[in-house]
Amino acid sequence: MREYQVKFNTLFKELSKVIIGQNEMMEQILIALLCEANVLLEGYPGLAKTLAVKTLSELMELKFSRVQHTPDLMPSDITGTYIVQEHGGKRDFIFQPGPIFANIVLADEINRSTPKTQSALLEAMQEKQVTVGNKTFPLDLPFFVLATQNPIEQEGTYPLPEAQADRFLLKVNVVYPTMKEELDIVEKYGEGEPKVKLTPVLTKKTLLALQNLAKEMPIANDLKRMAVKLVFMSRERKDIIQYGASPRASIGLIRAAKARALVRGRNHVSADDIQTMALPVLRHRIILNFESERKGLTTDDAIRELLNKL
Amino acid sequence: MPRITKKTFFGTIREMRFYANSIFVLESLLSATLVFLILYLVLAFFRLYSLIAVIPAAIYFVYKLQNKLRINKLKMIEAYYPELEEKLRTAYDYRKSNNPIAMELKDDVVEKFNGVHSSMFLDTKKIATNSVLCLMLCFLIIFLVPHSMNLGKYSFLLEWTNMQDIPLFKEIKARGIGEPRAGEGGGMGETTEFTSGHTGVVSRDIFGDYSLAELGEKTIEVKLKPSEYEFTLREDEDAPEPYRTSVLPKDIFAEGAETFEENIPKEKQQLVKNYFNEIGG
Repeated sequence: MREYQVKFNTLFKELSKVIIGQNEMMEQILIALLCEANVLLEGYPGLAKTLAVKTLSELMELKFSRVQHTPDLMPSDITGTYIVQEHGGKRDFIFQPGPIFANIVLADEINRSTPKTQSALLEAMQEKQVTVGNKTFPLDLPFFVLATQNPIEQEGTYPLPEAQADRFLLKVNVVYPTMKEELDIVEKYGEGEPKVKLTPVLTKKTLLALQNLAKEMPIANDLKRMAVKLVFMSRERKDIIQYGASPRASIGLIRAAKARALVRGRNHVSADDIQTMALPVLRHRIILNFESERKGLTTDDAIRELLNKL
Repeated sequence: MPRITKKTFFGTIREMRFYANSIFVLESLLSATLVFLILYLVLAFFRLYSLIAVIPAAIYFVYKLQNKLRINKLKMIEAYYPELEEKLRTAYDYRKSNNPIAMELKDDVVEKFNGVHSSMFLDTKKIATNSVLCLMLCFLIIFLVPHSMNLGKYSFLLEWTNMQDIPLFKEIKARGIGEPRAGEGGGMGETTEFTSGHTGVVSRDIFGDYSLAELGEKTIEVKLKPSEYEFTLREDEDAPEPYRTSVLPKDIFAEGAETFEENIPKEKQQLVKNYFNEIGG
């Protein structure tokens, strides 16, 4: 496990050459990658979300594509479509793959596109394949979708419904950097884009192996009970939560805790892993009741309340 | 106490369980002995059948041992050795798994187990306290039981509370439980009455069961009178008639002594009196 920890430390070190700060975001994205799952990034513009994902794909030698969601974006713009191609006097329909045919897809401002377009992306996320017409095209593994949402300027947007948001393993809140970090950013990028040479740390094959390893990470039975109890409590606490998390959240929490243990170089899951991952796993899966919203509570506050009672 | 020395994970867990269970048996036995001694002291002091104390002591031993065996030994070790925290119980839950991470975890735990002493299961303070208490109780039993109480003296309490008709107390009184046995002192300066009309309680300890004495075809009534070695004057009374007639032969009798007086005139009586006083000095 030590050698894997060294690999991850090297990965973070390479990332820090481009991204200053945002360590928690990077760790959680990596955890989601190890769980073969997708991440919803919520943060204000200009917090290096796109840059972070792009850099990560370079360090893992994965194909990266970005889709900027707009209200007029069509499903075929994401999945690809058949186009007519003339060759030697003959016309054929050739399938032109869309940007979804990559290893890491960054769906920027997913809440700006229509539900129809969102569902095309979400279908690919779930099935790891795309159906166009009567043909199905499998996606190249590993396949991840990192969707972003802007918490401001939500007028005219189509917020992801609860059922769709549930398909993302984690919802990561991207925060502003600290004063010192921002000074470093200004120092680095104040005079233009620096030329940074990145050395790939993980290959596609290594990543697939790490994904299998993360599944096998041992977790004690009482910790499993703890994770399930937490999710169960989210359904029982009607005084603060109107709708709690589903059993998918229990599975997600345990898988995320296992991946975190692997990233930290441990050979077992600890209670700290469960407690730390509870926030990104549950915050988009629970809906607070009116009373809690009136008091100004957030979903994070509700989850912390559940953790205290555990 | 020995360290846990097995090299395999299963062997380590087995060895740990063996030491822990042995220590728990010892502690339960000591606690049960304490209970036995307390009950024995109480029962013997009130002259009740003291060996009955074995039953509650045995029940207590079983109860205590069951509770001890239910303790999660893995969590106990983890609390004592922080470096094993969470690792030990995770490795135990995955003891049958062969995946590479689980194997590495088990090896890690076995390596760290070398520092584990089996004495961590021993509650030395409790064992020391119980041992001292047992010793004290033994001495108490030795010194107090000979001065045990006569429950029969308090039978008037039953009469006052109208409880003398309760079958249990009737049975106790009929069997003479708690009352002094024949041949024993009252212990508190009391007498046991041994007149023929009142034999008190005759213990069967030394006299055995009642049986008929037969001489040829005749049944002889034999009464063995218990001997007593102390008595109080206020309860002394004349020997009963049969005792006097049976012990002394007929030609020996007592009659009142007679005294003879000289007819000394009244005016000279003082002189005679002074004379004898002078002789007596």
